[in-house]
Amino acid sequence: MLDFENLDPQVGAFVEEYIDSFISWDLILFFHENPYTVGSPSSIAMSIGRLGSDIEPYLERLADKGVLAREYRGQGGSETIYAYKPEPDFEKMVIEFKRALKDRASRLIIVSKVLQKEAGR
Amino acid sequence: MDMSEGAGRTENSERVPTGISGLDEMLGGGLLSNSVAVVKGAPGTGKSCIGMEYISKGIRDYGEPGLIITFEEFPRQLYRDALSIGFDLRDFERQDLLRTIFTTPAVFLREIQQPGGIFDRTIEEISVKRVFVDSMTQLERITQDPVELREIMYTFLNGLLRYNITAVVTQEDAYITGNMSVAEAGLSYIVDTIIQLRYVEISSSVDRAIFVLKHRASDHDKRIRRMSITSSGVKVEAAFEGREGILTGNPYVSRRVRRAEEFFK
Repeated sequence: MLDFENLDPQVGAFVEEYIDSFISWDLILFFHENPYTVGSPSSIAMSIGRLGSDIEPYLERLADKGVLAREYRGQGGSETIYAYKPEPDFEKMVIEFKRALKDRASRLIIVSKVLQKEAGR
Repeated sequence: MDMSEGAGRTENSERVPTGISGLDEMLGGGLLSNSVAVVKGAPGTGKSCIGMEYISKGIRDYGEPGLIITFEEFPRQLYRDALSIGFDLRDFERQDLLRTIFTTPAVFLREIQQPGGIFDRTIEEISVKRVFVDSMTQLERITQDPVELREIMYTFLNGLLRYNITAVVTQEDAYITGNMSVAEAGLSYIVDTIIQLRYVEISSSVDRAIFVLKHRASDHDKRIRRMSITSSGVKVEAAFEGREGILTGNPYVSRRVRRAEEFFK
């Protein structure tokens, strides 16, 4: 039942590509719901109830994938701030992802997939 | 130096209507163009509703794009609250008429100071004319030193006024009723307009009161008026007639009214 193939293929591809942990899951939904957020790792972490040091690698990964924009501030660019800059197609996929989360069976498949990814790290 | 005379500010007496029923009448037509107004009040008095309506009416009725900067409430909460008073902020965002920036005071202060930073770019991207900041009280997170805090507020507000925009900011009062302070961190001296909201207890129920405490170089309504929040926005109604001591939060029937009541008994 928890087979990834039972998930909508588009959502499956989205999870495969972007949701590599519960933190990236939280971050993507947070930015989607609060799209003009601008923040440092610590301020964004506060908004999702996590630790700045824990979320920083995930912010970087999302920036590398083009979901977030990053800018450097402070002396020698020592501080990084992040803002949401998704392509319209990415936003559509987040909406599909949210829809899938409302369906219990799909949600379980996604949770199990993320747990698998976290265990494999 | 008069801190109200920031470098970026333009000199004019043009009015920017808030669009809020009754409030523009109190303000002699509206806020002063390219100025900052502070809306002060205890939690729940309606500060954010006034700010959201100012932005929404600006977009809808006056064709003026807006920017909301929120330090505490998540945009999704603002979207929900605005919908409950009849304004769809998300729809304005989809039309590129609004941005709701959620950030921290420290990050935003740095962005204001940064040439070509996110603030500058947002203003340019959608030609922002109205700004709403919720709330200035959060700037206290940057420092506890009152002198430094005043400088930060001054920098912050002048940063907003570099562009030809008119801003509404909120500041939280610590007291629900009774005690009232005017000048936390000197903000009241820096801004051009102060709109004060209060809770008023009358006959075992709580009403909202609104009055204009300061409106620089302008005549304005000095009366304390009743305010309500409805599904179609904020309504500023008639003055509290026949009551005295409204600002204490526990008004009493005035002697004149009491005599009249006794006369008719």
